[in-house]
Amino acid sequence: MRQNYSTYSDDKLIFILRSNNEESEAAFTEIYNRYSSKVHAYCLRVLNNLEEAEDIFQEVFIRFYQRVRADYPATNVPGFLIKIARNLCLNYKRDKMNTVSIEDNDVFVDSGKNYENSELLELITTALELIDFEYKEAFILREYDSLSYNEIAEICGITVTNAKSRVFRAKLKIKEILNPYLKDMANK
Amino acid sequence: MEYTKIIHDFIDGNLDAGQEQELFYNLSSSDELRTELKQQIAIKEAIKGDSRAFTPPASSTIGLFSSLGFNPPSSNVETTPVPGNSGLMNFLSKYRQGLIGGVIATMVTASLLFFFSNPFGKEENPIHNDFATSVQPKGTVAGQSNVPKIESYSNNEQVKVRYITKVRYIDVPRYVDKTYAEATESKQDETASNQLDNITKSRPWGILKPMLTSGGQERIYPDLTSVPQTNLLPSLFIPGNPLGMSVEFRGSQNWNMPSETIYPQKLSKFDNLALAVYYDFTPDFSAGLEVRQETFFQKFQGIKDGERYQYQQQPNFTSYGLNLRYILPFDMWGIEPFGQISGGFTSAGYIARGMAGLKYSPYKDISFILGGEYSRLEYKHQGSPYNANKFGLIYGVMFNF
Repeated sequence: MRQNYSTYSDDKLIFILRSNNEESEAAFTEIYNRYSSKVHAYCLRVLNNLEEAEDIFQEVFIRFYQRVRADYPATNVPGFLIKIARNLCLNYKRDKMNTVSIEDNDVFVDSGKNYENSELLELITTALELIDFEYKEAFILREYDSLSYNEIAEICGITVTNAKSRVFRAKLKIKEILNPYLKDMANK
Repeated sequence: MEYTKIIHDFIDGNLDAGQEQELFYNLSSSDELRTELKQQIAIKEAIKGDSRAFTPPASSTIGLFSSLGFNPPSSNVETTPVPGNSGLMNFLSKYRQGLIGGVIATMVTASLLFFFSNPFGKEENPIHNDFATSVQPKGTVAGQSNVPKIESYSNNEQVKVRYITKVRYIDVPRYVDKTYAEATESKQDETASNQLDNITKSRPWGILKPMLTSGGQERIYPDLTSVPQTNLLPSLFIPGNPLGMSVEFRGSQNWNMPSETIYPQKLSKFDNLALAVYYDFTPDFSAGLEVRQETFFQKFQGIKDGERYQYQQQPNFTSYGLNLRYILPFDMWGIEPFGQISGGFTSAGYIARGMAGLKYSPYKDISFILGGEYSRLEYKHQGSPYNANKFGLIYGVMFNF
């Protein structure tokens, strides 16, 4: 009978994944289903380039699988995944020069969504590119990945207070950049 | 800022009960506070709705799982009919546009060929009509059948059959060589076989076959195997023999190498279309000029304001070029392979191309081509050389006149 892996805890899934039997594939799939959206959101918003984000995103899960099979450090799964993603993204950004896409201004508008939200989202995405990376990353980890301040602090290697401060400062800067738009929105 | 911090903490769940109560009290009386709350909620909601960020593309999921040797999750399987063939699916997904274009072009070309070649209705075949009007020998009596009598060409039954097969496609008098005709007049008393030997020596490019008799006068016809194959074909639109000029309309589907990461905001109306005019210097070799509308994916670096940048763009170009085409001496079912090299330029730099393809000529005035082409654009930015490469599936039609 097929197991319902969605009820399993992360630890149990990791145990199955390491067991190297037929169930390990199902366990990996369940972990992927649980956390792929967060990892993808992190990669895409940190790199702000879909193609690069796709490459890093796949690499994150491949490395995760390899690490788990080899020697999984006892930690929480989403945090571990984001750490891998962060390392890969930082390495990638370090190796890569500043990139400016002259015509890369396509606006992604999901037809099923509120247009105003899409427009605001586009502005937020643009604003994220204009703020310092440390603030941007903290904001993404908090708002996109819903990590706690403790987790953010651990991933970024900073104190919890510092993590809170970075998230708040990021929000302030984003609001500052979006101020004209937000004012218009409030007056509607 | 104070309001921002309070609302931020409230959304974060960091306010205690007393602070929350105070906040609610102030909200009722402060427009500024309410506006702040609305704005922060709007930002949060917008991020929640970032489906692009939260949804890994199916292609990524399938690629990841296939690289691990796993079957992709069912949610992705639903969007991909053949999960087991993830490599194939990735390929199809990536080159979908080009493949569809190629298939459409092939279907259109096949339909045109089918239509023009008219495999049914033998009596209505234009080849036969052409035969009737072009091979009527001088001296044929009006009212008689236009089909030449076999016995009037030769006494040898085997040779007769051979001539009928070949002669009917062409306008015979055009291939009578003057030199040969004169030679024939001066040596009327020689036997037919002797004449053939002499003529063969005087025309190294072609062998003339025995005389055909018509109305008591000897007539000479060349060996049709020495004539360019296209000249043996009937015309569809343009009567008479081709002058050696061709106009070619070409379309293409292109794949940039490496793949583009950004796309043109607008494509030219005639994107990936080319117009070329060729002149046939020999039956095998032709040269032509072309103008084409196309894009190249450019990736180059530059320094601006002390910062080093990497630029990516895919602009529309109008390119001009000189083409040299050589048709290889192989002919299979009327399909001839050819190779082409081109040199040209755009506003950005120089272009070199290499192309290999097949040419099919159902009529002497119309041909179809299908091939693959590699293009390389050499350009400079701030003095540094760069290049952009692409591969194209080429399909087109030629009008020969």
